[in-house]
Amino acid sequence: MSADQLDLPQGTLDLLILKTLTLEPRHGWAISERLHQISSATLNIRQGSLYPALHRLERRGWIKASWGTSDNNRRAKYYELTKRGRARLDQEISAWRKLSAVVSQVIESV
Amino acid sequence: MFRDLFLRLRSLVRRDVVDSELDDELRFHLEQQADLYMRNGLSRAEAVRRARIEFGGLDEIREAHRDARGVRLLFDLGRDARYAVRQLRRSPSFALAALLCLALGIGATTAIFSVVNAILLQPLPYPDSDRLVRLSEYVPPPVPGRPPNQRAHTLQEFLDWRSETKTLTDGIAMGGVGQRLVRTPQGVVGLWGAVTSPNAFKVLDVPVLLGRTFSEVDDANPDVVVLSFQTWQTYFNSDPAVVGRTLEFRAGALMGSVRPKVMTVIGVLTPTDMPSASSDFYWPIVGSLAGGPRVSMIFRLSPGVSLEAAREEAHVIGAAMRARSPGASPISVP
Repeated sequence: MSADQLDLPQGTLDLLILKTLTLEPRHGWAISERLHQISSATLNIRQGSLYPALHRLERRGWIKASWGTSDNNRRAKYYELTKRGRARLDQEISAWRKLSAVVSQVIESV
Repeated sequence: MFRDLFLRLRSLVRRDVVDSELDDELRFHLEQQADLYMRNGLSRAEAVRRARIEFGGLDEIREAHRDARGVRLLFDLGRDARYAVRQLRRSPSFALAALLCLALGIGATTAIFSVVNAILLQPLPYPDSDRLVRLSEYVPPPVPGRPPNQRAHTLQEFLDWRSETKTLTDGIAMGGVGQRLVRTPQGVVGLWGAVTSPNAFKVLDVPVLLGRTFSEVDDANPDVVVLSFQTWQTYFNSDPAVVGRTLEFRAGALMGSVRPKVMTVIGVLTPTDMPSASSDFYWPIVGSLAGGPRVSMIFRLSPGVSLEAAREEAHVIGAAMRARSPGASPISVP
């Protein structure tokens, strides 16, 4: 891992996972690839965090899982956002915006 | 709420299945990562090695995953106990189904062919649901000591079982077709589909809200589709005029080059759905025996036949089938 890779603050991973699922259902690998890609390779989600997080989100009813076939014809578990998950994502995004605005405000002050 | 309870129960009762699903999921991830490295020019061996190193310890992930399942389990126990008692009182068959599941789960680890009482944990809304069974074949695990794998069946195998069995009637086959992209009044959406033998809705007496379900006339023109209630409500704005309209089902990029299908909507279900519950649409299974989807098989015990007798017959028929084609379709699903 290179020096400019970041540790995620607690709870942020859930938000990011939900966000990657807004367009279409994806399997775990595609979620981590997507995060890697859109963060310009800054985020590297370890599998040890990703899969427990996915199953936690499933249990809370924010995503639902089903087995499907991947583009290279392998059996893969796909996750999709539920209605409740979508609502949750909106909440989390606005909470995050508020929080990061407040944090910036504090560190910019003298 | 019910889904959460179901997942948690499943985690407890079918720990072997849940763990082996997790293994499959992690293995898939590893293979995808190795493929990526191979596309970037690494040799197969080097690609796999790098993917493994990055992946970290499998056991570590499994532990973390169990924690995620376990902690909330204790936390929520009080609430669930009350909920469970309420549920049980309202539908006594729920308790019965759960018990049968446990007993058969233990038995199945030694059986090769087994008839299990269908669709465990949920009280079924179908007529005579206590006579419904799922027929499945267990094969020895690849690694000794692991739970046995369940094999997926071809349509031909289903037809063979149906013609040979004397203890079971009303055979239905069902399988998944994965996700398809469909243009709806709500935009293009990804819907998950299933195929069923045309008799399925009639055998299970699944009620229809609009139009009709499959029948013999569809053999001549099998390009028809039945929508689930939820699909109709969510994506077609509960519009009754959807019946008779044609929809185009495209395979998404994930499915590779599968030709799009144009299907006529013939019916919409009520909220009482098929046993595979989470499907958004249903196609009839047609002809294509080779290369068709894998199916699971549901039967009804013939009048006066016990589960024991059906199981015995299943072992005999299954063994004979095995002898005829020993290496038949070694595709297994956990």
